Amino acid sequence: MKIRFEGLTKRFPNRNKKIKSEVIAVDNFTFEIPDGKLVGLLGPSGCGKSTALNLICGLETPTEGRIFFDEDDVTEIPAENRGVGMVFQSYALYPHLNVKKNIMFPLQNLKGEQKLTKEQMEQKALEAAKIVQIEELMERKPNEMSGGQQQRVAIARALVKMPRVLLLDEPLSNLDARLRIQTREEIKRIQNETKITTVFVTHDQEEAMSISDLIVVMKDGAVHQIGKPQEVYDQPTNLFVAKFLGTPPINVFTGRIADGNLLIGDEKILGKDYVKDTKDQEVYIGIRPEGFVLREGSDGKQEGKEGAFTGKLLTIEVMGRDTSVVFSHSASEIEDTRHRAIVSSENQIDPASEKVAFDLNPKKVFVFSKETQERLL
Amino acid sequence: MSTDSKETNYTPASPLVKRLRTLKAWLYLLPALLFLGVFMVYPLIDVLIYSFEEGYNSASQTSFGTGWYNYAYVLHDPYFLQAVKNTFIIVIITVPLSTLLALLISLALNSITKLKEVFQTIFFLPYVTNTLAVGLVFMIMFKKTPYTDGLINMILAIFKTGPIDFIDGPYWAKMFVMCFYTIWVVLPFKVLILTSALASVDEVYYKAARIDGTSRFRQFTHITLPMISPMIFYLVITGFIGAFKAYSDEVAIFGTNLNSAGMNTIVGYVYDMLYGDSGGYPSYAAAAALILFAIVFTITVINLLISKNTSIS
Ligand SMILES: Nc1ncnc2c1ncn2[C@@H]1O[C@H](COP(=O)(O)OP(=O)(O)O)[C@@H](O)[C@H]1O
Ligand SMILES: [Mg+2]
Repeated sequence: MKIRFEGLTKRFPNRNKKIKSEVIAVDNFTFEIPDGKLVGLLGPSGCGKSTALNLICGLETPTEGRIFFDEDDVTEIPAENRGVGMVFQSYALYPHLNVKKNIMFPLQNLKGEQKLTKEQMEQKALEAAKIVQIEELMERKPNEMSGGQQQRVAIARALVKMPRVLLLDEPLSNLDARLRIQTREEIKRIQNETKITTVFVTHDQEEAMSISDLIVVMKDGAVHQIGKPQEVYDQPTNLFVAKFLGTPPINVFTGRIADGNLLIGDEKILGKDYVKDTKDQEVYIGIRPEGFVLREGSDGKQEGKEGAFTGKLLTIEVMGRDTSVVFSHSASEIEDTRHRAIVSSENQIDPASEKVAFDLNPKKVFVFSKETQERLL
Repeated sequence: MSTDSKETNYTPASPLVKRLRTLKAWLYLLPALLFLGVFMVYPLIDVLIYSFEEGYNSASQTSFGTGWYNYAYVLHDPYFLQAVKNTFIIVIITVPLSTLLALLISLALNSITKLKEVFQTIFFLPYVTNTLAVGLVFMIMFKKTPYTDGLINMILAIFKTGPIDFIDGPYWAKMFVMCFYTIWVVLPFKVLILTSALASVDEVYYKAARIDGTSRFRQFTHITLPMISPMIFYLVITGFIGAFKAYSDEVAIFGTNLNSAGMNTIVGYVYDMLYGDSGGYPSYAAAAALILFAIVFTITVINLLISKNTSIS
């Protein structure tokens, strides 16, 4: 089932009562989540991700706008009739009930014709438990299980009614690093098996990139970009998206476009082929770490030549396959940033040299307007 | 030398050092132990001894002999039996009723958003008011005098009943006032405990329940109640203990001569046996006190067993 938003907006009165202005948690959402996909809602903390989920499931009512499940307008439909399953960040497992009773809890609420016998409920609970592979733990209490196991129980409970939409709010943030990677694969697998349209919220870009079919990048309640993870990474629409995605993060410098050249300081970074006929102006230049190519004999001797980019070498970190070249630059957007270039370990760099010079892969260089921070090139 | 001193840090302490440490611990405990011994253990043992001494005279410190005589006397004393009956009626009526009422009030308080603090304060005010003052107010409201029938009887008159003398009238009327008053006095504390217990239940459980289509009633019985059950048990247990030991509440309304009012309680009986007009019988008082102790002990053990069983299932 697909989910469609039309001008969806949620405003809260400010929590600090002294401030009169409202908080816009969700700002004019108008887009569609396609059927049967795993969608990652990505953004920094406090940008309105949880509010967006709560609007989808009906725990919050929108200030403006409408929500459609396929062609049904569900804006006015209460949460329990929307057919959504939700997994909360803290899992919200009932501590006094064992796993089986937790999973059966939603089924016991069914009324009228939908009412199930005890055997049917136990059967369904077992099926849900099998999907998340916890059928051996049915008699355990939540506090007798690890975080990852609790997480699975929470997913099973959300799945047991076969919801039309599965929502997960920061599903991995309470797990340790190793379990996080394991569990995110698990979520991907469960979604693949069940084909339920799934929206999951995270502030961790790596998490979103690794398993989503589609990511929605948010900031301050507004959607900044929607697309396949690789597309969004390769073609960010603005400086925020470019900075938010990727580890190590993109390197940002101030520069300008002048006479068909892209310049950082006095160095011409890229020429006419790249700049085309963009008009002269001040810009931000973002370069992905993998966009740097070490120059032969890159000890800074060729400084000042066209296409060169020269930084002050700080350290070199060899990490097996790749080498991280750490350098600083006077034109950094934020002063004294330690920039990182990832180059193949086959390159030999003299750690004692003061400077380091690179060529740039134009595909990994993005230019943003200094005024609007929107992408120019 | 230096290595030696280092090693002693890691090797297990020698028996002597251990003994010294234990001694030190006991030394720290000594003041508290002394205090407890002098003011609790010694009197308790003394009471136990009194209760088995026949015709003990506190002036001459003499007695005729030992045995179950005091218990037999107390258990056949109609005043004591009346006191036991009164105490049990008060306990059985006021403990469940006040807990239930407190729960309802707390639920209401928890669900309102506006002026929540104001209402909470209002409900807590009786707790900081002196119980004797509250008792006086109750007496004025319920008492029938030659000049006025009292506020409650005026209200009853509207419904064409009464007047009833609640303070000097029939037993059930007096018991009604007594229970009413007891509930009123214990309610604020219970409301306070339960409102904070309710507020401490994480909102997210209700959110999860709402999405799953859980009815309000089922949310209450399957989420709220189990989560606050430790607090409810706490209130019931302390409520039982408190109600069994009631005495001042009765005095506040019916005065010190509780036997003639027929409203005495077990603690009241103990007091009367010691200091009342019919007093001067510490042996009877001791026996009655120990009977009360046995009752409270039994009820508390039962309560604890029940609360343990329910919290496991
Ligand atoms: N019930 C509420 N009342 C007032 N402000 C709220 C409420 N819920 C969320 N907000 C505000 O809305 C913004 C978005 O919150 P949230 O959706 O929880 O962000 P996220 O999940 O992305 O961290 C925040 O500024 C938060 O303070
Ligand atoms: Mg959140």
